[in-house]
Amino acid sequence: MSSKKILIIDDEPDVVAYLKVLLESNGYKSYSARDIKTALQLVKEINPDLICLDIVMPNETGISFYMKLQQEKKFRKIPVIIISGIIESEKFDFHSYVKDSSIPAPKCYMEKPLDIKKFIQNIKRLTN
Amino acid sequence: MAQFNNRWQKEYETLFDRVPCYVTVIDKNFKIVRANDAFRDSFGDALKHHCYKIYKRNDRKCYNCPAEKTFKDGKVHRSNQQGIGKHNEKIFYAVSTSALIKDAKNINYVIEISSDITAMKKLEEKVIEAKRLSAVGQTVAGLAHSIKNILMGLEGGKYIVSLGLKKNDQAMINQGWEMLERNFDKTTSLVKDFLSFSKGRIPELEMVSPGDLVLEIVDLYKDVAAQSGIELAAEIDEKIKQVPLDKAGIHTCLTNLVSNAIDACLMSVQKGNMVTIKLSEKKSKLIFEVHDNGSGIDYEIKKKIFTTFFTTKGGGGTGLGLLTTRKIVEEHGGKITVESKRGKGAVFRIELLPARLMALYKESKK
Repeated sequence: MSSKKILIIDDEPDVVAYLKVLLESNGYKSYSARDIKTALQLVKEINPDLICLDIVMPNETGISFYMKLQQEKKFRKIPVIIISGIIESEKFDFHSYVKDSSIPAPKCYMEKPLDIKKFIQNIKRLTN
Repeated sequence: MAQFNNRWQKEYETLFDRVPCYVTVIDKNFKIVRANDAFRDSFGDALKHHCYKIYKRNDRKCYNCPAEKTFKDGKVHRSNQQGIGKHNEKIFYAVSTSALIKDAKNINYVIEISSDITAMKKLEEKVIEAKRLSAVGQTVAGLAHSIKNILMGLEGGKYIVSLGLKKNDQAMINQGWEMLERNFDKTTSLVKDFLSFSKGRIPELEMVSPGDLVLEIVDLYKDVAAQSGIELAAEIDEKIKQVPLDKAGIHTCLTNLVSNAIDACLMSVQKGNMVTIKLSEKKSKLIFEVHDNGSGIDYEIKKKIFTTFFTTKGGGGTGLGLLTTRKIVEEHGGKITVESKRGKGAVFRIELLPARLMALYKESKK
Protein backbone atom coordinates (compact mmCIF):
# COMPACT_ATOMS: atom_id res chain seq x y z
CA MET A 1 0.00 0.00 0.00
CA SER A 2 1.46 3.35 -0.95
CA SER A 3 1.60 5.89 1.90
CA LYS A 4 -1.11 8.49 2.18
CA LYS A 5 -0.28 12.01 1.14
CA ILE A 6 -0.80 14.76 3.71
CA LEU A 7 -0.53 18.46 2.91
CA ILE A 8 0.50 20.75 5.79
CA ILE A 9 -0.46 24.42 5.45
CA ASP A 10 1.06 26.67 8.10
CA ASP A 11 3.17 29.82 7.91
CA GLU A 12 5.18 28.92 11.02
CA PRO A 13 8.31 27.00 9.91
CA ASP A 14 8.64 25.21 13.26
CA VAL A 15 5.09 23.88 13.06
CA VAL A 16 5.70 22.65 9.51
CA ALA A 17 8.97 20.95 10.52
CA TYR A 18 7.29 19.33 13.52
CA LEU A 19 4.25 18.03 11.62
CA LYS A 20 6.46 16.73 8.79
CA VAL A 21 8.61 14.68 11.17
CA LEU A 22 5.57 13.55 13.14
CA LEU A 23 3.65 12.41 10.05
CA GLU A 24 6.60 10.80 8.31
CA SER A 25 7.63 8.89 11.41
CA ASN A 26 4.08 7.52 11.42
CA GLY A 27 4.33 6.33 7.84
CA TYR A 28 2.73 9.20 5.93
CA LYS A 29 4.15 11.18 3.05
CA SER A 30 4.05 14.89 3.77
CA TYR A 31 4.03 18.05 1.69
CA SER A 32 3.97 21.59 2.95
CA ALA A 33 2.98 25.10 1.94
CA ARG A 34 3.50 28.29 3.90
CA ASP A 35 0.90 30.35 2.06
CA ILE A 36 -2.46 29.81 0.42
CA LYS A 37 -1.34 30.35 -3.16
CA THR A 38 1.33 27.65 -2.98
CA ALA A 39 -1.12 25.42 -1.12
CA LEU A 40 -3.72 25.64 -3.91
CA GLN A 41 -1.09 24.77 -6.52
CA LEU A 42 0.08 21.78 -4.47
CA VAL A 43 -3.47 20.51 -4.04
CA LYS A 44 -3.78 20.39 -7.85
CA GLU A 45 -0.38 18.76 -8.28
CA ILE A 46 -0.50 16.06 -5.64
CA ASN A 47 -4.21 15.61 -4.88
CA PRO A 48 -3.58 14.94 -1.15
CA ASP A 49 -5.50 12.45 0.98
CA LEU A 50 -5.79 14.93 3.86
CA ILE A 51 -4.97 18.55 4.62
CA CYS A 52 -3.75 20.02 7.94
CA LEU A 53 -4.70 23.69 7.90
CA ASP A 54 -3.73 26.65 10.07
CA ILE A 55 -6.17 29.59 10.31
CA VAL A 56 -4.08 32.70 10.89
CA MET A 57 -1.66 33.31 8.03
CA PRO A 58 -0.35 36.38 6.19
CA ASN A 59 -2.29 37.71 3.20
CA GLU A 60 -4.99 35.05 3.18
CA THR A 61 -6.43 33.07 6.07
CA GLY A 62 -6.93 29.33 6.29
CA ILE A 63 -10.69 29.89 6.18
CA SER A 64 -10.30 31.57 2.82
CA PHE A 65 -8.29 28.55 1.56
CA TYR A 66 -11.00 26.20 2.81
CA MET A 67 -13.70 28.16 0.95
CA LYS A 68 -11.68 27.98 -2.28
CA LEU A 69 -11.20 24.25 -1.83
CA GLN A 70 -14.95 23.78 -1.45
CA GLN A 71 -15.57 25.53 -4.76
CA GLU A 72 -13.74 22.78 -6.68
CA LYS A 73 -15.82 19.64 -6.96
CA LYS A 74 -12.72 17.50 -7.33
CA PHE A 75 -11.18 18.67 -4.06
CA ARG A 76 -14.29 19.09 -1.94
CA LYS A 77 -13.99 15.57 -0.57
CA ILE A 78 -10.45 15.96 0.78
CA PRO A 79 -10.78 15.84 4.58
CA VAL A 80 -9.40 18.91 6.38
CA ILE A 81 -8.09 19.10 9.94
CA ILE A 82 -7.92 22.63 11.26
CA ILE A 83 -4.96 23.10 13.60
CA SER A 84 -4.95 26.43 15.33
CA GLY A 85 -4.13 28.25 18.53
CA ILE A 86 -7.12 30.56 18.29
CA ILE A 87 -9.80 27.93 18.62
CA GLU A 88 -10.95 25.70 21.38
CA SER A 89 -11.77 22.52 19.51
CA GLU A 90 -14.98 21.66 21.36
CA LYS A 91 -16.44 25.13 21.16
CA PHE A 92 -15.46 26.05 17.63
CA ASP A 93 -18.46 26.81 15.46
CA PHE A 94 -17.41 27.02 11.83
CA HIS A 95 -20.71 28.49 10.69
CA SER A 96 -20.38 31.43 13.03
CA TYR A 97 -17.45 32.45 10.77
CA VAL A 98 -18.83 31.27 7.47
CA LYS A 99 -22.47 32.22 7.06
CA ASP A 100 -23.08 30.03 4.00
CA SER A 101 -24.62 26.88 5.50
CA SER A 102 -24.26 24.97 2.20
CA ILE A 103 -20.52 24.80 2.85
CA PRO A 104 -19.79 21.81 5.09
CA ALA A 105 -17.69 22.43 8.20
CA PRO A 106 -14.17 20.96 8.23
CA LYS A 107 -13.99 17.36 9.42
CA CYS A 108 -11.90 17.96 12.51
CA TYR A 109 -10.34 20.63 14.74
CA MET A 110 -7.19 20.29 16.78
CA GLU A 111 -5.86 22.84 19.21
CA LYS A 112 -2.21 23.91 19.42
CA PRO A 113 -0.18 22.45 21.10
CA LEU A 114 -1.17 19.09 19.68
CA ASP A 115 -2.31 16.00 21.48
CA ILE A 116 -0.11 13.67 19.38
CA LYS A 117 -2.07 10.49 20.09
CA LYS A 118 -5.40 12.04 19.17
CA PHE A 119 -3.88 13.72 16.13
CA ILE A 120 -2.56 10.46 14.69
CA GLN A 121 -5.86 8.72 15.51
CA ASN A 122 -7.75 11.44 13.62
CA ILE A 123 -5.42 11.19 10.63
CA LYS A 124 -5.90 7.41 10.52
CA ARG A 125 -9.67 7.70 10.81
CA LEU A 126 -9.98 10.35 8.11
CA THR A 127 -7.64 8.75 5.57
CA ASN A 128 -9.21 5.29 5.70
CA MET B 1 -44.22 102.87 35.12
CA ALA B 2 -41.63 102.62 37.88
CA GLN B 3 -43.66 99.86 39.42
CA PHE B 4 -43.80 98.04 36.04
CA ASN B 5 -40.03 98.33 35.61
CA ASN B 6 -39.49 97.06 39.13
CA ARG B 7 -41.64 94.05 38.43
CA TRP B 8 -39.75 93.17 35.22
CA GLN B 9 -36.41 93.67 36.93
CA LYS B 10 -37.50 91.30 39.68
CA GLU B 11 -38.64 88.74 37.15
CA TYR B 12 -35.34 88.93 35.31
CA GLU B 13 -33.43 88.60 38.53
CA THR B 14 -35.46 85.56 39.50
CA LEU B 15 -34.88 84.08 36.07
CA PHE B 16 -31.14 84.83 36.29
CA ASP B 17 -30.90 83.23 39.72
CA ARG B 18 -33.20 80.28 39.23
CA VAL B 19 -32.09 79.09 35.78
CA PRO B 20 -30.57 75.59 36.29
CA CYS B 21 -27.10 76.35 34.95
CA TYR B 22 -24.17 78.42 36.09
CA VAL B 23 -24.39 82.02 34.89
CA THR B 24 -21.70 84.61 35.53
CA VAL B 25 -20.90 87.97 34.02
CA ILE B 26 -17.23 88.92 33.89
CA ASP B 27 -15.48 92.17 33.09
CA LYS B 28 -12.41 92.78 30.95
CA ASN B 29 -10.11 91.97 33.88
CA PHE B 30 -11.79 88.56 34.16
CA LYS B 31 -13.42 89.57 37.42
CA ILE B 32 -16.88 88.22 38.18
CA VAL B 33 -19.39 91.03 38.47
CA ARG B 34 -22.50 88.90 38.70
CA ALA B 35 -23.16 85.26 39.51
CA ASN B 36 -26.42 83.37 39.85
CA ASP B 37 -27.69 81.14 42.68
CA ALA B 38 -26.71 77.89 40.97
CA PHE B 39 -23.15 79.16 40.55
CA ARG B 40 -22.90 80.32 44.18
CA ASP B 41 -24.30 76.98 45.38
CA SER B 42 -21.57 75.06 43.63
CA PHE B 43 -18.58 77.42 43.64
CA GLY B 44 -19.27 79.71 46.66
CA ASP B 45 -19.13 83.46 46.87
CA ALA B 46 -17.58 84.87 43.76
CA LEU B 47 -18.18 88.57 43.31
CA LYS B 48 -15.15 90.71 42.45
CA HIS B 49 -12.88 87.70 42.28
CA HIS B 50 -11.12 86.52 39.13
CA CYS B 51 -13.16 83.90 37.33
CA TYR B 52 -10.17 81.53 37.00
CA LYS B 53 -9.63 81.76 40.77
CA ILE B 54 -13.23 80.80 41.49
CA TYR B 55 -13.82 78.25 38.75
CA LYS B 56 -10.46 76.51 39.00
CA ARG B 57 -8.44 78.08 41.85
CA ASN B 58 -5.89 79.12 39.27
CA ASP B 59 -3.73 82.22 39.56
CA ARG B 60 -3.78 82.92 35.86
CA LYS B 61 -6.11 82.71 32.91
CA CYS B 62 -7.11 79.26 31.81
CA TYR B 63 -5.63 77.65 28.73
CA ASN B 64 -7.99 77.98 25.78
CA CYS B 65 -10.25 80.49 27.65
CA PRO B 66 -13.48 80.99 25.66
CA ALA B 67 -14.25 84.32 27.39
CA GLU B 68 -10.94 85.75 26.21
CA LYS B 69 -11.87 84.84 22.64
CA THR B 70 -15.27 86.50 23.00
CA PHE B 71 -13.65 89.70 24.33
CA LYS B 72 -11.48 89.67 21.20
CA ASP B 73 -14.00 88.87 18.47
CA GLY B 74 -17.45 89.32 20.04
CA LYS B 75 -18.49 85.85 18.90
CA VAL B 76 -19.91 82.96 20.88
CA HIS B 77 -17.29 80.44 22.01
CA ARG B 78 -17.66 77.10 23.66
CA SER B 79 -15.43 74.72 25.52
CA ASN B 80 -15.45 71.92 28.05
CA GLN B 81 -13.64 72.63 31.29
CA GLN B 82 -12.91 71.08 34.63
CA GLY B 83 -13.27 73.16 37.80
CA ILE B 84 -13.19 72.76 41.57
CA GLY B 85 -16.36 73.22 43.62
CA LYS B 86 -16.57 74.84 47.04
CA HIS B 87 -16.36 71.43 48.73
CA ASN B 88 -13.19 70.64 46.74
CA GLU B 89 -15.08 68.34 44.40
CA LYS B 90 -14.31 68.07 40.68
CA ILE B 91 -16.92 69.79 38.52
CA PHE B 92 -16.97 69.25 34.76
CA TYR B 93 -18.84 71.91 32.82
CA ALA B 94 -19.58 72.83 29.24
CA VAL B 95 -19.31 76.59 28.97
CA SER B 96 -20.39 79.01 26.29
CA THR B 97 -19.46 82.67 26.34
CA SER B 98 -21.04 85.61 24.55
CA ALA B 99 -20.85 89.40 24.67
CA LEU B 100 -23.32 90.80 27.20
CA ILE B 101 -24.35 93.53 24.78
CA LYS B 102 -24.82 92.24 21.27
CA ASP B 103 -22.93 94.01 18.48
CA ALA B 104 -21.18 96.40 20.91
CA LYS B 105 -18.07 98.06 19.51
CA ASN B 106 -16.10 97.51 22.65
CA ILE B 107 -16.93 94.46 24.63
CA ASN B 108 -16.72 95.26 28.30
CA TYR B 109 -18.66 92.32 29.70
CA VAL B 110 -18.96 88.71 28.76
CA ILE B 111 -21.68 86.38 30.00
CA GLU B 112 -20.63 82.81 30.74
CA ILE B 113 -23.30 80.12 30.83
CA SER B 114 -22.21 76.64 31.86
CA SER B 115 -23.99 73.32 32.23
CA ASP B 116 -22.75 70.85 34.78
CA ILE B 117 -21.67 67.72 32.88
CA THR B 118 -20.05 65.96 35.85
CA ALA B 119 -22.59 63.11 35.81
CA MET B 120 -22.02 62.63 32.09
CA LYS B 121 -18.24 62.63 32.57
CA LYS B 122 -18.54 60.03 35.32
CA LEU B 123 -20.59 57.85 33.00
CA GLU B 124 -17.96 58.32 30.31
CA GLU B 125 -15.26 57.27 32.80
CA LYS B 126 -17.27 54.15 33.59
CA VAL B 127 -17.51 53.31 29.89
CA ILE B 128 -13.75 53.78 29.51
CA GLU B 129 -13.16 51.54 32.53
CA ALA B 130 -15.45 48.86 31.06
CA LYS B 131 -13.57 49.10 27.76
CA ARG B 132 -10.27 48.82 29.61
CA LEU B 133 -11.45 45.70 31.40
CA SER B 134 -12.60 44.11 28.15
CA ALA B 135 -9.20 44.98 26.66
CA VAL B 136 -7.58 43.18 29.60
CA GLY B 137 -9.73 40.14 28.84
CA GLN B 138 -8.75 40.21 25.17
CA THR B 139 -5.13 40.66 26.18
CA VAL B 140 -5.19 37.58 28.36
CA ALA B 141 -6.85 35.55 25.59
CA GLY B 142 -4.24 36.86 23.15
CA LEU B 143 -1.42 35.98 25.49
CA ALA B 144 -2.76 32.45 25.75
CA HIS B 145 -2.71 32.25 21.94
CA SER B 146 0.92 33.39 21.71
CA ILE B 147 1.95 30.94 24.40
CA LYS B 148 0.14 28.09 22.62
CA ASN B 149 2.14 28.77 19.47
CA ILE B 150 5.39 28.73 21.40
CA LEU B 151 4.35 25.54 23.20
CA MET B 152 3.70 23.94 19.83
CA GLY B 153 7.26 24.86 18.80
CA LEU B 154 8.73 23.49 22.05
CA GLU B 155 6.69 20.34 21.73
CA GLY B 156 7.87 19.92 18.15
CA GLY B 157 11.50 20.39 19.20
CA LYS B 158 11.11 17.85 21.96
CA TYR B 159 9.51 15.31 19.62
CA ILE B 160 12.18 15.69 16.94
CA VAL B 161 15.06 15.45 19.45
CA SER B 162 13.65 12.30 21.03
CA LEU B 163 12.99 10.71 17.64
CA GLY B 164 16.55 11.65 16.58
CA LEU B 165 17.94 10.00 19.71
CA LYS B 166 15.91 6.87 19.07
CA LYS B 167 17.12 6.67 15.47
CA ASN B 168 20.59 7.85 16.36
CA ASP B 169 20.18 10.55 13.72
CA GLN B 170 22.44 13.54 14.57
CA ALA B 171 20.93 15.81 11.91
CA MET B 172 17.50 15.25 13.35
CA ILE B 173 18.72 15.89 16.90
CA ASN B 174 20.27 19.16 15.71
CA GLN B 175 17.07 20.21 13.95
CA GLY B 176 14.98 19.57 17.07
CA TRP B 177 17.50 21.27 19.33
CA GLU B 178 17.53 24.42 17.18
CA MET B 179 13.74 24.45 17.34
CA LEU B 180 13.85 24.22 21.13
CA GLU B 181 16.36 27.09 21.29
CA ARG B 182 14.36 29.28 18.94
CA ASN B 183 11.18 28.84 20.95
CA PHE B 184 12.92 29.51 24.24
CA ASP B 185 14.16 32.79 22.70
CA LYS B 186 10.60 33.56 21.62
CA THR B 187 9.40 33.11 25.19
CA THR B 188 11.99 35.64 26.34
CA SER B 189 10.96 38.25 23.78
CA LEU B 190 7.27 37.65 24.48
CA VAL B 191 7.77 38.21 28.19
CA LYS B 192 9.83 41.34 27.51
CA ASP B 193 7.23 42.79 25.16
CA PHE B 194 4.45 41.86 27.53
CA LEU B 195 6.11 43.62 30.44
CA SER B 196 6.61 46.80 28.45
CA PHE B 197 2.99 46.55 27.34
CA SER B 198 1.61 46.03 30.82
CA LYS B 199 3.41 49.06 32.22
CA GLY B 200 0.39 51.33 32.47
CA ARG B 201 1.68 54.86 32.67
CA ILE B 202 0.90 58.50 32.14
CA PRO B 203 2.80 59.84 29.14
CA GLU B 204 5.90 61.82 30.10
CA LEU B 205 5.28 64.91 28.04
CA GLU B 206 8.07 67.14 26.80
CA MET B 207 8.20 69.72 24.04
CA VAL B 208 9.23 67.81 20.92
CA SER B 209 9.44 68.67 17.24
CA PRO B 210 7.34 65.94 15.59
CA GLY B 211 9.17 66.57 12.29
CA ASP B 212 12.54 65.80 13.88
CA LEU B 213 11.06 62.64 15.40
CA VAL B 214 9.93 61.49 11.93
CA LEU B 215 13.40 62.18 10.49
CA GLU B 216 14.97 60.16 13.32
CA ILE B 217 12.83 57.16 12.36
CA VAL B 218 13.73 57.55 8.68
CA ASP B 219 17.43 57.58 9.65
CA LEU B 220 16.95 54.50 11.79
CA TYR B 221 15.23 52.43 9.11
CA LYS B 222 16.54 53.70 5.79
CA ASP B 223 19.39 51.16 5.59
CA VAL B 224 17.18 48.21 6.50
CA ALA B 225 14.61 49.38 3.93
CA ALA B 226 17.22 50.00 1.22
CA GLN B 227 18.71 46.53 1.71
CA SER B 228 15.31 45.09 0.83
CA GLY B 229 14.88 47.44 -2.12
CA ILE B 230 12.27 49.55 -0.35
CA GLU B 231 12.34 53.32 -0.55
CA LEU B 232 11.69 55.05 2.78
CA ALA B 233 10.67 58.71 2.63
CA ALA B 234 9.23 61.45 4.83
CA GLU B 235 6.73 64.20 3.98
CA ILE B 236 6.72 66.79 6.72
CA ASP B 237 4.59 69.90 7.01
CA GLU B 238 7.32 72.42 7.92
CA LYS B 239 4.82 74.72 9.64
CA ILE B 240 4.39 72.31 12.53
CA LYS B 241 6.15 73.59 15.63
CA GLN B 242 6.94 71.87 18.88
CA VAL B 243 4.21 69.81 20.56
CA PRO B 244 4.16 68.15 24.00
CA LEU B 245 4.62 64.42 23.38
CA ASP B 246 6.02 61.41 25.18
CA LYS B 247 9.02 61.20 22.91
CA ALA B 248 9.98 57.59 23.69
CA GLY B 249 6.33 56.51 23.38
CA ILE B 250 5.70 58.09 19.98
CA HIS B 251 9.10 56.83 18.85
CA THR B 252 7.97 53.29 19.71
CA CYS B 253 4.69 53.80 17.83
CA LEU B 254 6.41 55.01 14.68
CA THR B 255 9.08 52.30 14.73
CA ASN B 256 6.34 49.67 15.12
CA LEU B 257 4.36 51.08 12.20
CA VAL B 258 7.39 51.52 9.96
CA SER B 259 8.74 48.04 10.65
CA ASN B 260 5.26 46.62 9.94
CA ALA B 261 5.12 48.61 6.70
CA ILE B 262 8.51 47.23 5.64
CA ASP B 263 7.33 43.68 6.43
CA ALA B 264 4.17 44.29 4.38
CA CYS B 265 6.36 45.38 1.45
CA LEU B 266 8.52 42.27 1.83
CA MET B 267 5.38 40.13 1.58
CA SER B 268 4.26 41.93 -1.54
CA VAL B 269 4.92 40.46 -4.96
CA GLN B 270 5.18 43.75 -6.82
CA LYS B 271 8.36 45.77 -7.29
CA GLY B 272 9.01 49.45 -6.47
CA ASN B 273 7.89 49.23 -2.86
CA MET B 274 7.74 52.39 -0.84
CA VAL B 275 7.10 53.42 2.74
CA THR B 276 6.29 57.06 3.48
CA ILE B 277 5.89 58.72 6.86
CA LYS B 278 3.70 61.81 6.57
CA LEU B 279 3.30 64.51 9.20
CA SER B 280 0.51 67.03 8.85
CA GLU B 281 -1.91 69.18 10.79
CA LYS B 282 -5.61 69.25 10.01
CA LYS B 283 -8.52 70.71 12.01
CA SER B 284 -6.21 71.24 15.03
CA LYS B 285 -5.16 67.60 14.93
CA LEU B 286 -1.58 66.47 14.61
CA ILE B 287 -1.50 63.55 12.18
CA PHE B 288 1.22 60.97 11.68
CA GLU B 289 0.62 58.59 8.80
CA VAL B 290 2.64 55.59 7.67
CA HIS B 291 1.84 54.67 4.07
CA ASP B 292 3.02 51.56 2.30
CA ASN B 293 2.24 49.93 -1.02
CA GLY B 294 2.86 46.44 0.35
CA SER B 295 0.65 43.42 0.67
CA GLY B 296 -2.29 45.13 2.38
CA ILE B 297 -4.57 43.65 4.99
CA ASP B 298 -7.56 41.32 4.77
CA TYR B 299 -10.86 42.52 6.20
CA GLU B 300 -10.93 39.62 8.69
CA ILE B 301 -7.51 40.59 9.96
CA LYS B 302 -8.15 44.33 9.96
CA LYS B 303 -10.96 43.84 12.48
CA LYS B 304 -8.62 42.51 15.11
CA ILE B 305 -5.16 43.92 14.56
CA PHE B 306 -5.43 46.50 17.32
CA THR B 307 -7.21 44.31 19.81
CA THR B 308 -5.43 41.02 20.27
CA PHE B 309 -1.98 39.61 20.15
CA PHE B 310 -2.36 39.26 16.50
CA THR B 311 0.47 38.25 14.25
CA THR B 312 0.59 37.13 10.66
CA LYS B 313 4.37 37.06 10.63
CA GLY B 314 4.71 33.40 11.50
CA GLY B 315 7.89 33.00 13.48
CA GLY B 316 8.76 36.70 13.37
CA GLY B 317 6.19 38.45 15.54
CA THR B 318 4.87 38.40 19.07
CA GLY B 319 1.66 40.20 18.08
CA LEU B 320 2.27 43.00 20.55
CA GLY B 321 3.46 45.81 18.28
CA LEU B 322 0.12 47.28 17.28
CA LEU B 323 -1.42 46.60 20.66
CA THR B 324 1.37 48.58 22.32
CA THR B 325 1.08 51.30 19.68
CA ARG B 326 -2.64 51.67 20.28
CA LYS B 327 -2.05 51.80 24.01
CA ILE B 328 0.54 54.60 23.73
CA VAL B 329 -1.66 56.59 21.36
CA GLU B 330 -4.62 56.26 23.72
CA GLU B 331 -2.48 57.33 26.66
CA HIS B 332 -1.90 60.51 24.64
CA GLY B 333 -5.68 60.90 24.28
CA GLY B 334 -5.41 60.21 20.53
CA LYS B 335 -6.63 57.50 18.22
CA ILE B 336 -5.17 55.16 15.65
CA THR B 337 -6.92 53.93 12.54
CA VAL B 338 -6.05 51.84 9.50
CA GLU B 339 -7.14 51.87 5.89
CA SER B 340 -6.20 48.95 3.71
CA LYS B 341 -7.25 46.42 1.14
CA ARG B 342 -5.53 43.17 0.34
CA GLY B 343 -2.87 43.80 -2.28
CA LYS B 344 -3.39 47.56 -2.15
CA GLY B 345 -1.02 48.61 0.65
CA ALA B 346 -2.04 50.26 3.89
CA VAL B 347 -2.19 53.59 5.73
CA PHE B 348 -1.88 53.65 9.51
CA ARG B 349 -2.94 56.99 10.95
CA ILE B 350 -2.26 58.38 14.43
CA GLU B 351 -4.30 61.46 15.34
CA LEU B 352 -3.33 63.53 18.37
CA LEU B 353 -4.84 66.68 19.84
CA PRO B 354 -2.04 69.19 20.58
CA ALA B 355 -4.40 71.50 22.54
CA ARG B 356 -5.31 68.69 24.89
CA LEU B 357 -1.69 67.61 25.23
CA MET B 358 -0.69 71.22 25.98
CA ALA B 359 -3.28 71.35 28.77
CA LEU B 360 -1.92 68.08 30.20
CA TYR B 361 1.63 69.36 29.84
CA LYS B 362 0.83 72.58 31.72
CA GLU B 363 -0.96 70.59 34.38
CA SER B 364 2.13 68.39 34.83
CA LYS B 365 4.40 71.42 35.18
CA LYS B 366 2.43 72.85 38.12
